[in-house]
Amino acid sequence: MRKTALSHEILMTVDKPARYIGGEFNSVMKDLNNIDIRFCMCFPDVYEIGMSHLGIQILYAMFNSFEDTWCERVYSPWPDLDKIMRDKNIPLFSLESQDPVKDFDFLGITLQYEMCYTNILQVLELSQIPVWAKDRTEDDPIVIGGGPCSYNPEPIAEFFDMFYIGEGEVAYRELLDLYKACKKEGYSREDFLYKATKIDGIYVPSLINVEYNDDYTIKEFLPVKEGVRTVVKKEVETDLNDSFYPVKPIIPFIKATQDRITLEIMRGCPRGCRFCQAGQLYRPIRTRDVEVLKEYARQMIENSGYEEINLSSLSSSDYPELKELILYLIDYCNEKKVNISLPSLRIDAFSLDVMGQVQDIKKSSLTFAPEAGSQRMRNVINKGLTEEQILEGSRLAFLGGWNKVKLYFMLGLPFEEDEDVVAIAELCEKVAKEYYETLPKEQRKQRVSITASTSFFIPKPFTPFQWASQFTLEDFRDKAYLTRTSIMNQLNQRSIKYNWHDTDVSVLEGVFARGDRRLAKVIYDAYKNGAMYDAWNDYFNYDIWLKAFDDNNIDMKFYTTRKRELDEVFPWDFIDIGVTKNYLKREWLRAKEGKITENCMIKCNGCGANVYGAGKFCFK
Amino acid sequence: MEDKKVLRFKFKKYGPIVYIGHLDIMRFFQKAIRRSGIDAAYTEGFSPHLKLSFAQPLSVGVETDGDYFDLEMETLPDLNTLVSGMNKQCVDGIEILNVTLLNDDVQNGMSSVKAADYIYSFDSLLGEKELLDKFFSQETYIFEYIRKEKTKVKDLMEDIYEYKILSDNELLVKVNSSSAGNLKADVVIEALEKYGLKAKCLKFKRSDLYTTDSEGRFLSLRDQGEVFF
Repeated sequence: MRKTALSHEILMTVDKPARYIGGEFNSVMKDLNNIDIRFCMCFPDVYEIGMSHLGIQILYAMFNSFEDTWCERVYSPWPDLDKIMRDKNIPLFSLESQDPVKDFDFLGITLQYEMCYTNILQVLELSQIPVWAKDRTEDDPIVIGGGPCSYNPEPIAEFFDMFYIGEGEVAYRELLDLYKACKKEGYSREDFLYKATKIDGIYVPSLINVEYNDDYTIKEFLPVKEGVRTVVKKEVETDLNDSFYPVKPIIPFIKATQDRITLEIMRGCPRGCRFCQAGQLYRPIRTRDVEVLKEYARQMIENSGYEEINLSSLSSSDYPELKELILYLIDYCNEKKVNISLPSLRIDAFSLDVMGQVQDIKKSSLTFAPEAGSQRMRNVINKGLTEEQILEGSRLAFLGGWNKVKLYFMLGLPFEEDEDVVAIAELCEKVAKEYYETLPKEQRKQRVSITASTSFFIPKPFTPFQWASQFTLEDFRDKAYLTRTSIMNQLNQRSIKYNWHDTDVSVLEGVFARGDRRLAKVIYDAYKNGAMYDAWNDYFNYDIWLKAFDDNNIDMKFYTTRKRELDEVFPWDFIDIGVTKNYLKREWLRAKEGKITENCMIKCNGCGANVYGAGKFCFK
Repeated sequence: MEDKKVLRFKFKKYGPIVYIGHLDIMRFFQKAIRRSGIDAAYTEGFSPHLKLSFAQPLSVGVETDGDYFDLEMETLPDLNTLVSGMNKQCVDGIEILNVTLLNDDVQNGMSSVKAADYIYSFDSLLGEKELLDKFFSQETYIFEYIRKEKTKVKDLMEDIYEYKILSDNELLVKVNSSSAGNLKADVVIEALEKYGLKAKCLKFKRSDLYTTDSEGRFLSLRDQGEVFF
């Protein structure tokens, strides 16, 4: 029988003890006698969030397919258990073996959003692993980071021994082999880290020094040791058809946030929206063959027992065989009593037809993401969705029986003027008007319901907007207020609901997104003063952060609102994602002029990602 | 309700799995049933659901050797291999013990259940027999206790049906487990301690659930049809 690291008394005290016991269906137990490498995979947030993440399921299954490796999992303990563990000095443990994380060879931490940074420190400290990489000894695990935020790892670089930049399916075997060889030869931790820099995608922060100018912009990156490359190249899985896929996903007992099968149909996006980081990071575009996807869907439905399947990609409407895939799934899932959760699709006759087949029209809503209210602004951000398309899509949907429309926008986009903000309200009004013009009175069963949501734009590395100044907190508030009052001025304002995101978190996210190594101390101090679970509204405390910046004499505006010159060296410039800085610069200048750039499935725009020789669209 | 084919599964739950709550155990079995590929019956509509019902929820942290769920079937699978087939879909700590093809006239587990057996493990019951006999042979025992911040007063003897000292450290008690007057297993311990029992209760588990037959005798929920192992 499996043991538990926590006593009966503790498990009976904490909320949702199922978070800490492991033993889920499809989780993997191995015999330690046959294992050379123990890898603990961490998502630094609560179990239900972490278990919803496809990336960890991929890596977990891939690592465990290696005979010499046992991959286990750990998540952030919820604050109730966190306190108990500190009081009783209980070391953080993995779910499978329930052994202390500090006894593992590797602790891999996925970095999905900036606001989880303090939870990384929580996991390290509870694991009783030194928080700063420089303080670790031969007895400590190698702490390795990966995921979207590792494309600017600098704010947290000093907490990690290394980062894996790129898609995990590619180089981990090579890294594990190197580790095994080093262990066998008795090489030190330092030797291993040095040798690891020879592997593409591996970044060892302690082996690259950052030199600053007097104004704290970056002067250059210098190798600490001879032979260390100062450019780290992103790893890319070239063929998604033979890459590893977790067809036997772990099935949590408690309901995860995403309680369904995830079928990843493609990586990358041809649209080139200028605010979107994922759109650049995951280039080149690669698709999975439709037959491969059908087989995965069948296997995963059979192996999981889930009641719902979800298609995942950045832009599902661009998947070339979408129609065939969806029609197949509708048939197969109907037979297996599985619901299909459709991704947001371009609204046309086909998508409305399938939506009508798989959802209850009365309950479901139509979703558009125009991202900006005015056409001028949509050209600036290169969002190729026009007002005509939105209104025509809405018209078709209203005729089909829908009466709920959701619209997603961003506020604080570069070059945004008040009239662009007002245009958000006007667009909502036009959609409402479309409803009354499309349907004669006797056909209207309910009032039309429009929900407009805005988030605040945060400039991200490796996007054309990496040069943009972020708006201030006061600007954000003014813009949200203007949106609200403009909506209230519309004729159909009673049919329009408006939601907006928190402003404080957006400022901080902006700081970390384009941050540098000087921020590590701020994060550390904020954590020591109680910051944790910052991604959770109930726990986020902006004052702690303000104090931490103040104590370290660091001005947030340096990272957010400061004007960046075209030739500035950015903290993340040592990473090569294939897409060139020159291309991004070109796109930034086109944005200024409000010029759009075409979908790259139609025309190659020379972004540079074709160096990977992957994805059929790059060679058309 | 003619021709309705209903299977009643008896299962045990032990080890770390006891910390999984009742609703999550239900979700677990829903998925296990779907994975097993048996031809279960579903409700109609946009999100069809299994016709699945559990006899009695069990508190978090408590083991069981005898809990039940009923599942309505479209067609019956091979009942001789069903238990082993279902166990392939279970995890360490959840085990299907047997399956009963319910007789036609049987109500579902939830409305059938009348009593439950609990086995309490103590450090030692040596020297406590007299006290236990005295306690359980009372005509009435009015007990006041607090649950969920509410004070409750109950005559425990109305809800305690049987007791048996199984060994030097184990005591079995059969209690009312009907929807009308479910007696929680831990209340018995609280009462015994107040009555003067010195032995320390280490843990307890549910061992079986019962209905009553036409003559009022207790009958295991398992035995309301033909049983397959």
